[in-house]
Formats: sequence, C-alpha cells, structure tokens
Amino acid sequence: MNFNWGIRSRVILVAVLPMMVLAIVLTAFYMTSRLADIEQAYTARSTAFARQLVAASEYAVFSGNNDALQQLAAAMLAEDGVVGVMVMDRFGEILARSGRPASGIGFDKGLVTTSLYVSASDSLRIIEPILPSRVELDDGLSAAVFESQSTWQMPPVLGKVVIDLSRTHIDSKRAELLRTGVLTVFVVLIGTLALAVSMSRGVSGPIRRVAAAVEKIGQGQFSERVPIVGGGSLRSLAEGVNEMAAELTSMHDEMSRRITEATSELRARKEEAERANMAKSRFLAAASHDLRQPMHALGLFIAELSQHKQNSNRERLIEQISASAEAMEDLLDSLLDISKLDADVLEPSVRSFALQPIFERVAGAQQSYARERGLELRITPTDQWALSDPVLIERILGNLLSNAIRYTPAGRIMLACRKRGERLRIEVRDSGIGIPADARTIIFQEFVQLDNPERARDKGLGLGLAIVRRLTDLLGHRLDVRSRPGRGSVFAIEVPASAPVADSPESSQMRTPGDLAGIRIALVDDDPLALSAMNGLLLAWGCEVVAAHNAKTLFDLLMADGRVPQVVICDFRLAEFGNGIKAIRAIRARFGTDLPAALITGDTGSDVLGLAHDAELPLLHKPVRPARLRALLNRLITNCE
Amino acid sequence: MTSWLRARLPLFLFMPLLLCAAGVRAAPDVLVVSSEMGGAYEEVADTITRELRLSDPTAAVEIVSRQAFRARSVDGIRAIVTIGALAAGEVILAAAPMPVLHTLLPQETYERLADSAARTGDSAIFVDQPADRQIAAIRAALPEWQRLALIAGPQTHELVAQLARIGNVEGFEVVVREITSDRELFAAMQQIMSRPAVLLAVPDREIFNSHTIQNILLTSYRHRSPVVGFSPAYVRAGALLALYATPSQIGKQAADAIASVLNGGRLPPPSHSHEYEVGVNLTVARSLGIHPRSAETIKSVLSRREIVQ
Repeated sequence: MNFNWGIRSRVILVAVLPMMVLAIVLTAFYMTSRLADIEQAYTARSTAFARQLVAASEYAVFSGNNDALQQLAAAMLAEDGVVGVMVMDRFGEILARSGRPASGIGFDKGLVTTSLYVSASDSLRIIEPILPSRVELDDGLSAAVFESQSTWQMPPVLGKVVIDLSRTHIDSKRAELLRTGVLTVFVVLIGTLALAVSMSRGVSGPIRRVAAAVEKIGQGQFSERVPIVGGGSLRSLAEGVNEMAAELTSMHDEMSRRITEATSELRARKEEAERANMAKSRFLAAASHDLRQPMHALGLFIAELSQHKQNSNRERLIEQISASAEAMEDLLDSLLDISKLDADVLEPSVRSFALQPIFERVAGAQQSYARERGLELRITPTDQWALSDPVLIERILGNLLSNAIRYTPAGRIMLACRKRGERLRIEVRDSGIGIPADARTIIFQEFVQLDNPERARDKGLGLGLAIVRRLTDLLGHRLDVRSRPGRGSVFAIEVPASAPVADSPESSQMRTPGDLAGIRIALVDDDPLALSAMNGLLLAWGCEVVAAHNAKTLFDLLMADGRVPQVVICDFRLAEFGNGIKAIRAIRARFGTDLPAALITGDTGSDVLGLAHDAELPLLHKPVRPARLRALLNRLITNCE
Repeated sequence: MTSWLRARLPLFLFMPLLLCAAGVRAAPDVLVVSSEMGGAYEEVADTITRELRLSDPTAAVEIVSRQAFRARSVDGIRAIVTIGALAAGEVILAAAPMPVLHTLLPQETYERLADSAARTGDSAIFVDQPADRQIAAIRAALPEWQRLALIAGPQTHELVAQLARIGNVEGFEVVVREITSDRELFAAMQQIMSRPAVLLAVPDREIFNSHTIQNILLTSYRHRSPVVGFSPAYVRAGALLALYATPSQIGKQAADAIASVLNGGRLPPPSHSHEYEVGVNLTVARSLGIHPRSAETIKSVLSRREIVQ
C-alpha cells in the first residue's frame, strides 16, 4: 500500500471503507434473507392456495362435481400470481382446468401423496394431493368388528390439484428489493462520503494549513505563522513550525545584516584596491616614461660614444655601461610588453611560416648567453611550417630559451619540434633544477621567480613566463609544462601545422637591412637631451638629420634647406599640436600624405598605444634601442620604395 | 435390533406366565386369550376377571395374548375365553378340549369359524348388534321415517340382504345398492338418497372407513338424510344414531357364562350381547331438523319389544 495519498484521501478512505463494506455486507445479508423470506412467503402462500383448493375440492372430487371444481379452479385463478389451475382425479383424469399450464414444466399424470414443488425459471408448480379428511372411527369396537376382515386399504388419495404460479410477481418484488438495496447502499455511501469529507477537512485542515505555512516560509515569507488550533500533536506541530519560523526570521535578519556589513566592507576594500591599482598604474606609467627619457638618451649617447675611437680601458668601460643600459632596457621592454598585452592592443598577424629560420635566430640570439653559462644549446633541425604569428612565436621561444638557460646550472638546452597530427609541438627542454608540482601554475604569474628570493638581477625579472602565457593565450595555443625537480623541465607549445608556402613574407624579413647613409630624416622631440642623442646616433649612421624641438622649427629648417624629408620621427608628447600624431599629420600635409613616419614615446600607457595603432603609425618606446630604430627605418624606407 | 426386540418383546413379557404354566404354579381355572392387549380388549378382560372374582373368589383367571397362547399348555384349564376374532381363530385351531367362549367378534365371523372347526359346547357373544334390533331401533328412534337405505360391499351381501328383509318386515321402504369399490359410493348414495332415507351403515371396511365417512356423512347431510352407525365413533363423527354393546357389557355377560361353567354348568348358546347402548347425536339431529326419541326411550322400546318376543 504505497500510495502517494494525502492526509485527506487517507482519512476519507479510513472513514468510507469500513462503512462501505458494512453497508454492502449488511445490505447483501438483509437482502438475501429478505429474498429468502419473500420466496418462502410466496411458497407458503402458494401452498396455502393449493391446500385451500384441496380442501374445497375434496368433496367435489368425491362427488364428481366437475362444475363445482371448475368454479373453484376459476376462482383460484383470480388469485395473484396464479396462472394455471388443474384438478385431477386419482386416475390422472383432468376434472377441472383453468388458465394455462406453465410452460417449461413437464406434466406427470401419476398420483402424489405429499405436496410437491416443481420450480422453473419463470414459474412454480405446486402439486397437492387431494386426501380425504380422516375421521377417527377405529375405536375398540370398530376394530373388533373389522378384525377379521381383509386388511385391504383403499388408496386414500382422491386426486391432485396442480397450481401453476408465475414468478413475475416475486421477480418484480425481488427487483424492487434489489433497487431499494442498491439505493440504500448508494445513499449510505453518499452520506458517508459527505461525512468523511467534512471529517477529513477537520483532520487535514490544520495540517494543510501547517503545510501551506511551511511552504510560504520555504519561499522566504518568514513572517508567516500557523494559527494554533486544537491540541496534542497538532498544537505542538503548529507551535514547532512557528518557533522554527521565528528562528529562521532572526537567523535571516542576522545573516542579512552580516552580508550587508561584509558587502560594504568588501566594496570599500575593492574601491581601495582599485584606487591603489590606479595609483600604481599611474606611478608605473609616469615612472617608466620618466625613466625612459633618460634611458633613451643614455642609450643613444652610449651608441654614439662607442662610434668614436677610444682607448681600450675606456672601451671596456663603455661596453659595461652599454650592457647595464641594455639590461635596463630589457626590463623596460618586458614591462612594456606586459602593458601592451594588458592593453589588448596586440593583434596577432597569423600566417604560414617555416620554423627552422626562427629556431636558428632564437638559438643564435641566446647562444652566447648559453655559452657564457657553460651550457650546450642545440636545436633539432625541422622542415615544418606553422600557422601562427612568427614574431610572437619568436618572442615566446626566446623567452622560454632564456628562462631555460637561466635555471639550468649545467647540462644542455634543446629546442625541437615534432608533428602530432595536424599540430606541431614545439618543446624547449632543459636539464635544469625543475619545477615543483605545486609551483607549476604560479610560475606563469608576473614577477614570480622560483629559487630567487634575493631577486638577483642576473636571474631576470620574472616576467618571461608571464609574457609567454599571455602570448599563447592571445594566439590560442596550448602551453604545458612537464618537470621533475632536479632532473629538468619541458615547456611545450602546440601550434597548428601548415603546408609550406612558396613565397613567404618571411623572406622579405630576411632581407639584410640596407645602408641608411644619405637618408633624410626629420626629427621632432621637445626633450633637448633626447633630441641631441637621437640626432647624434642618426648622424653616426650617415643619415641627414633635420632635428627640431617642435614642428614649426622643423618647417622653418626644412624650408631653409629646401629639401623633402624621407622619414619623419616624432616624439608623441609635444606641447605643440598636443601630440606627435597631430604634428605628423601637419608635416604630412606639407610634404606628402604617404611620407613614412614613426612615433617615439616614453609613455607605456595603453592610451598612447591605442592612438598610435589607430593612426597606423609605428611606435617606439624610449629608450629606443639603436638596432630597433635601425630596423624600423629600414622597414619604413623599404615599404616606401 | 429394534425390530428384533419389538418382535420378541411379547415373548419376554409372557415368559413368567409360561414358566408358571410349566409347573411353578397350578394351571388357572380360566384362561383369557386376547387378540390384542389394551383398549376394548383389555376392558373386556378386566371386566371378566373382576366379575368372576365377585361370583367365585377361588377361580383363578389368567390373561394371555394369542401369541403366548400358541406355546402354552392348556392342561388343567377349565374354560377359555377369547377376545376378538383373531384370538378365536387361534384357540379354535388349537382344538382345546375345554369349553371356549368367544367374545368381541362379529356373528358372521363366528359362524364361519365354527363351521370350519365343527366344535360343540363352544359359545360366543357377538360384538355386532342383531339386525332386527337395529331395524327396531331405527323404527323406535325415527317412527315417521319410512325409507331405509343400504349399501352393500363385497363382504356384506348377506348382512345387507338380511337387513333389507327385516326392514321390509318392519314396514320400511328399503333401497339397496351394491358396489364393489368406494368410487361407486357417491353414485350409489345419489341414487338411494334421491329422496331422504335413513342410511344404515354396515361393517364393511371397504365402504365405511375413516376416509370415506366424512364424505358419506356430508353427502347424506346434503340429502337431508341421517346415518345410523354401529359404534360410538359414528355418533361422534356425525351419525344420528348408533346401537352398540360396550366392552364391559360384553365382559359381564361373558363372566356370567363362565361362572356357570365353573359351577358345573354349560355355556349358553351363542348370542348377541343382552345389554347394549344407544347413542344419539342431538347436534346432527338439530342440523337435519330431525327430532329423534331419546336414547332411554329407544332402549325401553327395544326392551319391551324383546321381552315380548
């Protein structure tokens, strides 16, 4: 009995079922007994008819008065339910007859000595013998008189009476009784049902109210309360629910209050953090700009200084100064890369390219560093082509190699590529100190350096892997690390493989830069130190430089000179025109809209990057490395040509 | 078992008597053999015993059933009284040498038995009333009735013929019908009672019995005719008149006869009972609108008549 019934249904069932069973059983019992009574009464009545007829017809049969018998039979036929009457003598001869004999009952002419009942489906036949009334004559004297006579006894039966009765009457009575019985059961059931429903309301009502209240409380209406009615379990249930609701309300209020407090505190903290971050950004931007300006100039001066003949002692000093300046430039470059990636201004230029030249270049760049540390750096030759941004891939591999060299005290570093289906897996393997398992995610965070708590400068800045991760994310390449502490690490990136392309743009990049001698360059920078340094460098390269601290002076100088510049290099931050982009636009307006131009800036803010990107102007950050400036000039001139 | 016991119970009951007969006691003077025990038979036997004791206190009387009689020796017995036709038959068959008085049997039966046995010295007291007495009684009771109706069955030809003869002598218009079964009864009655007549019932079991008597009485009533029976039961059932001897009357007469034998005399010749009763149903008389004379009147008339005869 595992029904999903509610309380009400159960109560109704409990109330109705016994009543229903009782009603049916009692009705069935009384109907059966009543039907038996009716049947019995009917039979008794019929027997009485028959006996009455027997008594009445005895003398008529004795006297052979068939008319009288016929009258009796006819009279009997008038009785309710009698359909046929027949009087026969002892020889089976029919003396009187009225009505029609019941069909379906065979007829026997034989004598009967006792009452006989023959029942058929629709009729009942009663056969009653006509026995003469007995009058006692056998007192002692008569017995004595008759003693010697033969003991022959005449058959006392005079004949028989046959009465056929229809069952229609009894059937209709039975049907009526059945109707009454069924109706009674029905009425009792309806009454019971109504009673049960009203009772169940009384029983289940409070519980349903409790259920409804609990549901509302569950929906958050903690103010809901159950009216307390009745006693016992119902009362304790309602009280319990109310207590629960009250407890919930107070708990809810407490929680709400705490959440509000926590939220406001969080908000304050967040705002504080944001403020701090903004301050940091501002500081970083300003610091890097302000650092870049002197670094730029420093770089240029060093470059210029190295052009001049010096004694060996000075040359060594200049070399050391140059190395220190380069390290600082690397630091600033890395910071700049991070800020570029943060600014989301870097758009990968995806194309097919051969991996081998990139491998060679990267390895070549790090070879000397590896050799310094006594490491063997090898590449596995490959003829695979990849589909990605070659410049960014080169940067990634460069960072991974430099990272590997940095953390490998002895042994070797290997750069290899293997094809895996449609992808290429480029791996940088080292035999270094390895990375503990719990550190494999934090190594990709900025300024994280394992095994460098003293932050020794020769171990880098801790930005290399951060840049690698950002770049692979940008390119959508998979990056993974496998490592065993003490045995070495494998950093791998997966890039889509590509079919070789005949005329790769890579080849043009491979072109050796041309001579810059004789190239006319217009230079604008309001920082006199930077202007001077840049001017000296360009002059050292053999360029013809028209340098001015603003555009107006530049115009004047150019007008005086009477020649058109081939390249314009302009500082971004200018008092005049607001910024370098507008100055370049003005210069181009004067000397031709396709005049190649580049911006230099000490700002590392993303807004400057964005503006330069929008103006389609290449942007160099201060301190500008001489090699980078040279490459840019080459590219601008080549494109122009 | 039960039927076996029932069949032999009389034997056990009479065993002491048999032992007595075997010599424990002296043989009785008078042996009473009864067809049956109880009822009229016992009353007759009791009356005989009582009356004999009055007349001869020394006389020993023993009563046995007819079944016990078969195994019994009759040595030393001076007289035997039978009660009922069956006892009479038994005793006649035993051919006992002493005088035998047969009582409580119809005259016709006695005559048949006596003829077959050819015995002398025996006598009888008949249970039925003589035909002439019956006719005379009717005459005495209903002097104004002239028609006498008689129905004869297979066993009562002679009796009816005798009655008819006497009736004729007495001046009755006698109507007789002979029938062979009760089926013809109603037709016969219709005929003989076409006019009101006194129906005299005769002791024929096939015609007058417990089952027919109702209809006979009813039919006669419808024909405004009275019925005269031969036992008090008839009067009770609805007959107007009945003439009968009571068992004690018969017993007394038998005791007188035996007493004379014990005193060295002989049995009187066979006869009907000297004393008798007349029963009248006054209710029936009123119903029929008949005014019969009283029973005493009838008896006195009959007595006078018999004395005269």
